[in-house]
Amino acid sequence: MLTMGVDIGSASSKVVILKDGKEMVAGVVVPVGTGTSGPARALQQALETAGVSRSDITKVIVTGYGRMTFEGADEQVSEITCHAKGVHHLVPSTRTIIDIGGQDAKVIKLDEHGYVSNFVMNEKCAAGTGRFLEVMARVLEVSVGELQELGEQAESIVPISSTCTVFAESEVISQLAAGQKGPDVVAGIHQSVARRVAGLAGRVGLVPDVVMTGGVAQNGGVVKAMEKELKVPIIVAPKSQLTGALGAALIAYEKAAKN
Amino acid sequence: MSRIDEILKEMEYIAHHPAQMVMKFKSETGKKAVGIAPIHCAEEVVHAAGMLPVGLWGGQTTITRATEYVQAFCCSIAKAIMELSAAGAYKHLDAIIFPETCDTFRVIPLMMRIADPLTPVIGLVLPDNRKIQAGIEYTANEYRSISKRLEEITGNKVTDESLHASIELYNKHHAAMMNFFDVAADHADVITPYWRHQVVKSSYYVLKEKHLAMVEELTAELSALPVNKGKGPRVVVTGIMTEPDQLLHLFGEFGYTFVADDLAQSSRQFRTPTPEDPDPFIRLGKRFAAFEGCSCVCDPDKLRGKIITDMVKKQQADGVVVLILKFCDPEEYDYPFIKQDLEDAGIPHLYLEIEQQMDSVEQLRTRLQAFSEMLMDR
Repeated sequence: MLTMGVDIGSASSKVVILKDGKEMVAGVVVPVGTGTSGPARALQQALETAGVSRSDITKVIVTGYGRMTFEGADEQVSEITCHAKGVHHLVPSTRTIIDIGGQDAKVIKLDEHGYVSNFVMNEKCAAGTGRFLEVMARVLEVSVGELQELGEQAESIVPISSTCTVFAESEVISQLAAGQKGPDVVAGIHQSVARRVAGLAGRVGLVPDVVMTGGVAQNGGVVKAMEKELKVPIIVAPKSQLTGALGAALIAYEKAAKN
Repeated sequence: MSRIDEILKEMEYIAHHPAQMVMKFKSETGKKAVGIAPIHCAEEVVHAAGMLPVGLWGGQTTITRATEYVQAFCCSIAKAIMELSAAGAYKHLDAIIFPETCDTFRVIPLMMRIADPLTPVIGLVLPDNRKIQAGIEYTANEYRSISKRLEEITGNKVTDESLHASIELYNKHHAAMMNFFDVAADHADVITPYWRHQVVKSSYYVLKEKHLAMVEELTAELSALPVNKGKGPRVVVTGIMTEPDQLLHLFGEFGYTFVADDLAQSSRQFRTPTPEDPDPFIRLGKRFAAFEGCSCVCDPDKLRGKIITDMVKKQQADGVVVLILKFCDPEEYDYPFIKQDLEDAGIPHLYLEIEQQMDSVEQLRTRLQAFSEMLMDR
């Protein structure tokens, strides 16, 4: 049996096709999210990769910020439940998930069976999210993907004290204007994201193993800053951008198998 | 349309048309109406003076002029009340009673007098030392001086007999509301969070004797229906309020049933009966002394978490939703204690920050959906 999970975020669209709830036969990330051609393209690419058509898929579950407007699914489930399912499948020892996406930062606590026992999300604000990093990368005239490498060259950390993304942007501009080195500012930006998310994690209570997911988990600089801030080792989920879609596909399998 | 639908529709109309209800009351009876700001104003005094007490709970208005008078970081209710005051929306009220519920509310009566000089605003200062005899007497005197000010402004006099009678009516109404909440918890298919709120909100814009009759009839009709516990999560909600309507609809969309509440706008108004005493003002003072579990009342023992935990146990609720009105300091100060008590009791809870003027509740959608999935998975 084939099932599909579609995770439509604010910055990217992800699709996973699973065979019998075990084998991932397709996993696609298209770097544009809800309201764009991303979801349809990701779906098409996933079907092509797996060499199947939509009618071969028994059940499709959609999740993520764009789940309400996506019409090609049988059901929709919140991204919190899906991330929990996907991460627990990949790393069964997970008790805390830190998921940082394009405009969301979430901390999800799991019980020993992998069920969600508590969660918190950032409040109506881009601080500590992927969007924050994008804004800062633009000021530094680099791509988001280059931030990690740049941060590794830091000799010291220029602290960014503003929580608000808009204020932090002007703070970064004034630090650069004052002659601070780019890599040191990047280290400060990574630290700022880590501190913001550490505050969220404190609200649910951190229990190891801690697993990080979402696009921002691909930035090793943020992961290191987070380890320093939280004082625990962090496991970066394999296929960190696909965990939500994987969780959705797993739930689709469980639901289809029940019927 | 069933009788239940008719009553609910009427309540919905009342809840959504406060100004019309005030004008209708005044033109039909020739009597006066007095605004009552949240939350411990003892509106029985207004009722005993033969006037309509009108709850002032802000509203879903666009905030523009309010920030001329108060900071942007005031709670929704304070901002909306200021906005409506500046816009002259309270001009049909013959007076307004405003308690110093919190630091923000302390300045609002002063600002309202500037924004709308024609509507008299009577301040009310309630004590922290409310349980000692001197505190009870002080509270009674505050209510007594309100009745005198009302008499000066409106010419309507409160007698001991009329106040005792109003207290008895309110006790009956409050008991009927608490009974309705229990019955409604067993009829999740009919009394969704939205309709439950209409029942509560409508109580603020008609005389309690009329509302009592409506609630009693509604409860009787509901009791005749088969029990329906709903398929979604059964929760206790706590906070100041569950407005706006969009938020209530979102709860409904995910199948939530409110099996009990600890809302300032709802059961905190109803759950403490007024005790006996020969002096009716002392009765009201004693009620304020007996009240427990409100963020706006001094509580050194921090009983609110226990009160909520007991509600969860009594109703066998699946969890608690803590609705924090943005910039409401008293509620934010209470939250760590509530959180600890709920965690100690193993009760899952969701913290949601809300604003009365939220045009979009999409930010809350994921949280409410995920919490529902989390509770139903357990």
